[in-house]
Amino acid sequence: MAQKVLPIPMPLGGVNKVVARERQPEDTCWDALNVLPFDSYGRARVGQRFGITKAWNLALGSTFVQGLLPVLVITYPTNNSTDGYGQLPPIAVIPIPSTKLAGIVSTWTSGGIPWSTGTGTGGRLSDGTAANATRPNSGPGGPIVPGTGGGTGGGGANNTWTVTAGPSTAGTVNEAYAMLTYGGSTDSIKVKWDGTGTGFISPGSSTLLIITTSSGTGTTLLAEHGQPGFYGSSTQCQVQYTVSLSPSSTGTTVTVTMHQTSGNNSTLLGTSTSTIGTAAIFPSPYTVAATVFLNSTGSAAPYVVTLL
Amino acid sequence: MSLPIYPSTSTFNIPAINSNYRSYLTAVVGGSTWFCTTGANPILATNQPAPSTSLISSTRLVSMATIFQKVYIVDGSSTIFQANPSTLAMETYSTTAGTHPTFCNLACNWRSRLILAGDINSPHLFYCARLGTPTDWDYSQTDPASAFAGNLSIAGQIGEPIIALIPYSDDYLVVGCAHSMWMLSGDPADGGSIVRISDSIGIIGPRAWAIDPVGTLYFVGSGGLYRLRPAWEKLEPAKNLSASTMNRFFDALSWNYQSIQLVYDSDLHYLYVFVTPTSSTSTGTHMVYDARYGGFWPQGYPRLVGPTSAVAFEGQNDPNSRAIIVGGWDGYLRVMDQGAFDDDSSTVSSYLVFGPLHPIPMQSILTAATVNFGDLFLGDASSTWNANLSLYGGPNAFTVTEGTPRNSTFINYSMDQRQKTARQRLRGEWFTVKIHNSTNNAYFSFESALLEFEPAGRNRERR
Repeated sequence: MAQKVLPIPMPLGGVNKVVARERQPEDTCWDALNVLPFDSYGRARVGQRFGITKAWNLALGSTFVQGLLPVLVITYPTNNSTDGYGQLPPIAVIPIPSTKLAGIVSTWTSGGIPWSTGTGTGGRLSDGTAANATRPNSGPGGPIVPGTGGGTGGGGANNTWTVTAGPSTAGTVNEAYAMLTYGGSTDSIKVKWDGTGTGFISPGSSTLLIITTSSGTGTTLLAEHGQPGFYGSSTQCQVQYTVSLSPSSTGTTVTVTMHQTSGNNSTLLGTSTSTIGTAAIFPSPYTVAATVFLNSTGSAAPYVVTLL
Repeated sequence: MSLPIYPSTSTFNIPAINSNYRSYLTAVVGGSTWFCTTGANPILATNQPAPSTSLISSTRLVSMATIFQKVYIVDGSSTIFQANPSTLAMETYSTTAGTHPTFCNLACNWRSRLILAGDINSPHLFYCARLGTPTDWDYSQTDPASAFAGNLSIAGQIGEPIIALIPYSDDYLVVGCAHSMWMLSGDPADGGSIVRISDSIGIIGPRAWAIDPVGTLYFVGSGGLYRLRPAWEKLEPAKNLSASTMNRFFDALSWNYQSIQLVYDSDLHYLYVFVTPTSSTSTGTHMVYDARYGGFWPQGYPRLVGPTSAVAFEGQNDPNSRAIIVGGWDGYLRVMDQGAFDDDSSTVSSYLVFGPLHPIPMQSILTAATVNFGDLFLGDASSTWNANLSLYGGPNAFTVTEGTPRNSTFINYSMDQRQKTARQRLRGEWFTVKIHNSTNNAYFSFESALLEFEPAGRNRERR
C-alpha cells in the first residue's frame, strides 16, 4: 500500500463530543481548551483565546461579586447653573472620604469645572461681567459662562450642597466638598453672595469670609469677615469666587472649609485643600472661577462656607 | 474589546460637563453597592444600609433591575434595596401603595414595571408593581397600569417555581420555570395575555440566558443550549444547539452546584456560557458558543476569576469601552481583554486535539507532520508566540483519546518554525495530534496540518 497523506483542516466547527470516535467530523476536533475559532486579530484561524485583565485595579471587597447591572444615567444641571453648565471642561472633584459618609450635609448633586484654555476673556458671570472682575455692590448674580475671544482663560464650577437637617443636630457631617483642584493666590479670591443687592465682597486677603444662608429671592443676610453667620429661613447660599493664577501657581492650593453655626459659635466641619496641577497651564494671566451652591431644606439653615 | 485600567490611587472624576449621559456598572460585593464607570475607580455608594438592620446579604447572588435611573436589588430577604446612580447613594425603598412582596430573589424591569419573583414562600408567583411606579403594589386597583400578581399554569393547576425573568422587550416578558417556558405578551393589566412557549423545556438558572443584538434569546434549559425568538412577528421555535455536539456537557449541569450565566459578546459573536461551581474552592469548565460557525469551545479560567457574575458592559458610547466584564471570588471585576495573553498574571494553558485518525486499515508509521501555524502580525514578538506539537499513536481509537497512547513524540516550535515539517517516526494504527501551549504570555494559532503515513503491516498487538 502506498504512502498516505492526511490533511487536517482548521476545526472551525469546534469540539464535538457526541459522535463516535471514528466518525469525528472533518471540521471539528475531539477536545480543546482555551482556544477560540478567531484569533486575537479577528481572523478565522483557531488559536489560543485572549486573556483577562482587571477592569479596575480596585477590589470591591474581599468576597465574591454578587451581581452586576449596567445602568444609564442622565443628569441635568441644577438650579442657577444652566448658563454655564454644559459649556466648560470638567472640574476635578475629590471623592467623599469614606470615613465621613454619615452626617447632616448629605449630597452633592452636581459638579462641574472650570478650566478652559486661553481663548477668552475668562469666565464671565451671566450679566457679562468677567468672573474675576471687581463687581459693584449691587447687580445680579448668576452662574459663570465661558468667555470668548483671545487673551485669558477661565471657567466655572457649579456644585450643589444639600443640607438636610438643622444645625442643632448633633453628630458628624458628611464633608462632601467640591473642590477646585487648582489653586491660586488667596488674596485674589472674591466672593459673591447670590442674593440681592450685595454683589461681590472682596476679602482683600486670606481673611476668613463667612456667609450665612438666605432666601434666594429674599433679603440677603451677609456676615462680615470672621464673624459667625446669621440664622435664617434660608433655602440657598451661593458662593462664587474667582482665583487669578499664574504659571507659578502650580503647586499652590485653594482651600474650602465648611462650617456649621449654632448661636454665636461656628464649628469647623471640615477642610479640604487642593493643589494646582501642571495640567492647568494657560496663557497668563488666567483665571478660574467656581460656584458653590449651598442648599438647605426645611428649617435647616445656618451653614456657612468659608473660602480661605 | 478592552477597558483601560485605573489604579487604585486614581481620583474620582465626576463625568465631564456635556457628558451628562453616563453609563455606570452597578456591582454588589460583600453586601455593598458600587458604581463603576470608565475613567475612574469604582465608587462605593454612600448611605449603605447598616449591617445590623438591612444590609444586602453578602452570601447570596442578587438580582437587580433599573427603572427611572434607580436600581432595585433583591437578595431573597424581606427587603427591597434601592440605589441611586445619579447621587451615587443608597436610598430607602418605601412603598407608596399596597405591600411589597418579600423574600424574592428575581427582579427585572418590564414596561417600567418592577417585576419580582422567586419568593421562597410562593415560588410560583410573580409580582408586578404599577407601571411607572416601582413602589406601588396595590393589587386592588383595576386601571391598565395597576399592579398585579399572577402565576403561570394551565387552568386548574399550580404553576411551577419561577426560575428566571427575561424582559425580552417592552411587549414580551419571557418567564422560565424548571420545565416550562411562558411569555407575557402585552400587559396583562391592559388586555395582554400569558402564553406557554414550552411545556417541557425549562431554564436552568436565573442568569442562564442572554439576548443577542438581533433578538435571539439563548438559554440553557433542560437538555442543552437553546436558541429561541419568542416574538410572534419573528417567531422561531426553540432549537437545541448542543444536542449534536456537546450534549453531555449541558446534560450534566446542575444549578444546585453550579451557577450558570450567559453573556453575549456582540462584537465577537461569542456566547459565553459561564458555569461556575457554587463552591469557591472549585474551578469551573465554561463554554463559548461561536454564533458564526456554531461550534462549542471549552474554556477554563483561574479559580478566583470565577466568574460569579458577568455582564456585557457598554461604556461611554465608545467601542473601546464595551467589554465583557466578569466578577470574581476575590471581589475584582475583570475584562475579557483581546490585548492580553494571560489571565491576570496566570498562564493560559491551551490545547487542540485532532483525531482519532485512522489513515489506513492497518498499522502505519507517521513519517512526517507539517503544521502551518499561520502568519504573525506586525508587532508580534517572538516572546508572545509558542506552540508545542505532541503526536500519539496506539492500536485503537480509545488509547489515543481517553486512554493511554502506546507511542508519542513531542516537538516545540519557535516563532520562525511556524511552517516546519517534523520528521519523527511514530508507529500506530490510530493517531491523535495535540497542539498546545503552556508558556506564560504567549499564544499560538493554527491553520492546517499535513500528516504523512506509510504502511507498517498488520497490527501485531494483542487486543
